[in-house]
Amino acid sequence: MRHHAFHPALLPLRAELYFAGACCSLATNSTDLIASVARWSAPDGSRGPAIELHVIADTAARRHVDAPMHFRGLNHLVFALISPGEFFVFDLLRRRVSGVVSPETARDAEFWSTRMVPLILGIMGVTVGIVPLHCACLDPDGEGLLLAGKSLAGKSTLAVALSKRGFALISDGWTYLARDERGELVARGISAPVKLLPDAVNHFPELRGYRSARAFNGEIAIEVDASLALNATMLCESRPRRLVLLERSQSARSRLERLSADAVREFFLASVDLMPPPLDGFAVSRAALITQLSQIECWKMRHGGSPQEAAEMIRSLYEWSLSNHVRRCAIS
Amino acid sequence: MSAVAPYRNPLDVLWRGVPTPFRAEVQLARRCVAVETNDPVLLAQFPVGIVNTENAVQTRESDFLWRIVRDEEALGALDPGVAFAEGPLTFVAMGSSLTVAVDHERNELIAFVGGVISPAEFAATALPLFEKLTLGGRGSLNLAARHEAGHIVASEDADYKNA
Repeated sequence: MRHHAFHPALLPLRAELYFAGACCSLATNSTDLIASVARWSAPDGSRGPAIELHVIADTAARRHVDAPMHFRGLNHLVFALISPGEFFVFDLLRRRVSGVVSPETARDAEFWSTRMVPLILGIMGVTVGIVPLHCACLDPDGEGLLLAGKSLAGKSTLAVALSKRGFALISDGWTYLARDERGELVARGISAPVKLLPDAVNHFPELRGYRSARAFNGEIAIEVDASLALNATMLCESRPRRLVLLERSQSARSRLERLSADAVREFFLASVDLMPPPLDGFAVSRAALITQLSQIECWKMRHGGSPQEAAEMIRSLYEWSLSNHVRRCAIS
Repeated sequence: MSAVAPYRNPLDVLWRGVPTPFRAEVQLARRCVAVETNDPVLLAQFPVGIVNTENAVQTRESDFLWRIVRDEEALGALDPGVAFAEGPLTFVAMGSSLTVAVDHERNELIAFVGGVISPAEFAATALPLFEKLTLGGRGSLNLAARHEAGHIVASEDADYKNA
């Protein structure tokens, strides 16, 4: 059995990272890893409680590209086994992630950006006041629009269709919700690739030539950089002001109706990860953030037509809602 | 393969809420360990004389908790394994079929035992490991990594070479 002891003297290299509102202090023995995460370097002035990330690059460890990652958790701990000899342990109570990786993994910048950063946010986010929500976020003109819905509701194709109508794209699959220092909601993304089902090519011809592959969650999907493949404008964050909950419908006609705050709250509380008893405090603060989110303007959209038709309807809704808001402000 | 039904909860892909309804108490040296598991077959592997399943719901003050989960979806064979210690935490993974963590500050051991691990393998490999991790306290694996020429050099623990 191979043993590793984590000690500050063994991890002399440091980097301060920042992603989707989370500060992260990295300690490692690998210059390759420091280079791999350089794009996530914290800007000056970023502050907040930091997640500690301690990573040993072990020259004896080997990467097995085909080995499926294995995740399990109990109480305050979560294990992620990458391949034999490579693993991470997430300790939610101590806000610390410890891991051992091979030199190949340490120098794989794509692994850190597309796997580890989402994993750290997904598992540890609640420990620093960030709630990962399974929804897309767009920003047409400085105000955020969240697209929620169950799997296969069409969030991603609709997000792309809206991005082609001038809405900036914050996030596609996961949006990270938090409060700023004034207590206002802020929704952030990490410029992750947009993940679309293979039939999306029928709606977006520019996707021809991109191949489907098995995504991290096991789905077969086309994953593309939206700014390159779809010419989308990308933003890092927005203030969520409106939310549309999508539902698939058999009818080709789309319908929009107002949605109550209770329904929105219920939807999100029923879709977030189970939180075991030692983490009750995080579950309470997560629920409070979701309650705050449910107070924004919310709509339900049933649609069965093309994403372009749904996008057109949302754009009309957005313009109508915005003009109403301006009228109300003028009257008051 | 064990006969435990796989745990299925779409909101709990990590299995953080897996029920562990079968309970026992184990006397290990001076420690009284409360054991919880989802697989009663594992309880039957504890040596006779140290385990009490009759009045397993806290008949006396337990000072350590073991939560042992039979994981039917972890199918890999045991491998030589890797271990690490940081502060109060010790973690051992012998492939996905045996992962163990001990939090010495909270006096808790949690473990996932793969579906391919037979009761005999559990008794021969996992139980001695749990015992050593529990009784040994922090540093129970005699961790002795060194820093040489910019690389971590991990130590080998002869006790586990045959595991």
